[in-house]
Amino acid sequence: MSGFFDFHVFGPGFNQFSVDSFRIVPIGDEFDVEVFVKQRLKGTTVYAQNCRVELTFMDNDRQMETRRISFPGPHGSATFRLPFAPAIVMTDLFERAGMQPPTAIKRSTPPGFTITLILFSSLMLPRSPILLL
Amino acid sequence: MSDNTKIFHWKSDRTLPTYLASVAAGPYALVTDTVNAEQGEIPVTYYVRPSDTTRARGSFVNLPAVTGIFEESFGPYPFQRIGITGTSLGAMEHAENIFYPNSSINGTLSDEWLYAHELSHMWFGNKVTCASDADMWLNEGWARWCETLYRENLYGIESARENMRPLLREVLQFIHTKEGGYRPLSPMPSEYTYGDNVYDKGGVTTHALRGYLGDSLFFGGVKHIWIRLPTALLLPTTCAMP
Repeated sequence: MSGFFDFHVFGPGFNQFSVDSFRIVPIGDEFDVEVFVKQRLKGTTVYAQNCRVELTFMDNDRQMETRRISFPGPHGSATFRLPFAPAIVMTDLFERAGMQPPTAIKRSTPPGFTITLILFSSLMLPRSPILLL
Repeated sequence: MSDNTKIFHWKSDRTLPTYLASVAAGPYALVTDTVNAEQGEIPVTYYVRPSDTTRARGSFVNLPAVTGIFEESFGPYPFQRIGITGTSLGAMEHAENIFYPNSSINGTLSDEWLYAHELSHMWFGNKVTCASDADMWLNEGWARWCETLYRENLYGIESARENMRPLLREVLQFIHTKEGGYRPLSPMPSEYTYGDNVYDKGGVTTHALRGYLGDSLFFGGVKHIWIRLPTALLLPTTCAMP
C-alpha cells in the first residue's frame, strides 16, 4: 500500500499505464503472452512504486480475458498463459485504475509493426452549481 | 410556554464531532418516513418549506435504496436518524441533519447525487473524521467517490463510468491550473481545504484505491475498519490505509 499512498496521496501529479509491446509464444493449444508495460507521468517526475493495472486481451473473434499485472516502477513485464492468441492488449479497459485518461490499446500487426490507438472519452456531464461541503 | 416560546430538546446518544452539530429555525413542514436499516427501522425526517412537501417525496424517493447501498458497502448507518432540512443555500452533512438546498428539493432526481454525497458523509466525515483539515480528502474525496458508487449500484456500471469520466478529465486537464500546480492530497494547505483537489482528485484517488485493491479487499477492509472504529474518531491519512 505504501507505493499507492506515496504516489497518489502524498505526492503530486498523476500516472498512466500503457502497453509498450507484447509477444506471443504458442504452447500446445495455448499461448504464452509476454506483455511489457510502462508508466507515464504528468505533473511529477517520481514514478509510483508497487503498481498494478488490469490488462485485457482480445482476439479477432472478440474473445476476451482480463488479468492483472503488478510491477515495481516505471516499467514491468509479465507472461500470461491464454487459451487464444490476442490481437490486442488493453490497459484498464474497465476503468478501474482511476488515473487513466485514455484507454491505450496495443495492437498486434505483421511482424515489426505495432500501432497504439488512443481512445479519448469525450462524455461530459453537467454539474449543478451548488456549494456542497 | 405561556409567552408562546417553544423549547425543543434534542439529544443524541452518539458522539458527534462538534462542527457537525446544527440548528435550523424557520416555518418548516415535516415529512416523515422510515428506512429499514441494519440497526432496525431508522426514522427519516424532511423539514422543508410547506410548499415543498410533495416535491420532497419525489426528490428523495431513492433515499432508502441509497442508504442500503452505503450500509452494504461500509457497514451500518452510524446514527439514529436520517434528517434532511431545506435551506436557502448549499449543502452540509451535519450529523443526522443534512442541510440541503431548497432548490434541489424540486420533485425530481436531478440532484440525487447531492444527497448521496451528503449521506455518505455519515460514514466518511461524521462517524470518522479527519484529524486535521490537511487530510480533508478523507471526508470529501470519499464522499465525491460515493456519488459514483451509488450510481453503480442503483443504475448500473455504465452510469457510474459516465459519472467518473468527466470527473477524471477535469482532474487531469484542469485541476493544476486552478490551485497553483500539481498538489499532493495530503497535507493540503488550508486555502485549498475545500478545493477541487480535495473533492475531485480525492474522489478519483478513492476510485483508484478500489481498483488497486480489488473489490473484496477494498470493501472488506473498509467495512472491517469502519465497523470497529468508535464514532467521532479523528483519523489521519496514514491511519486510513486499509
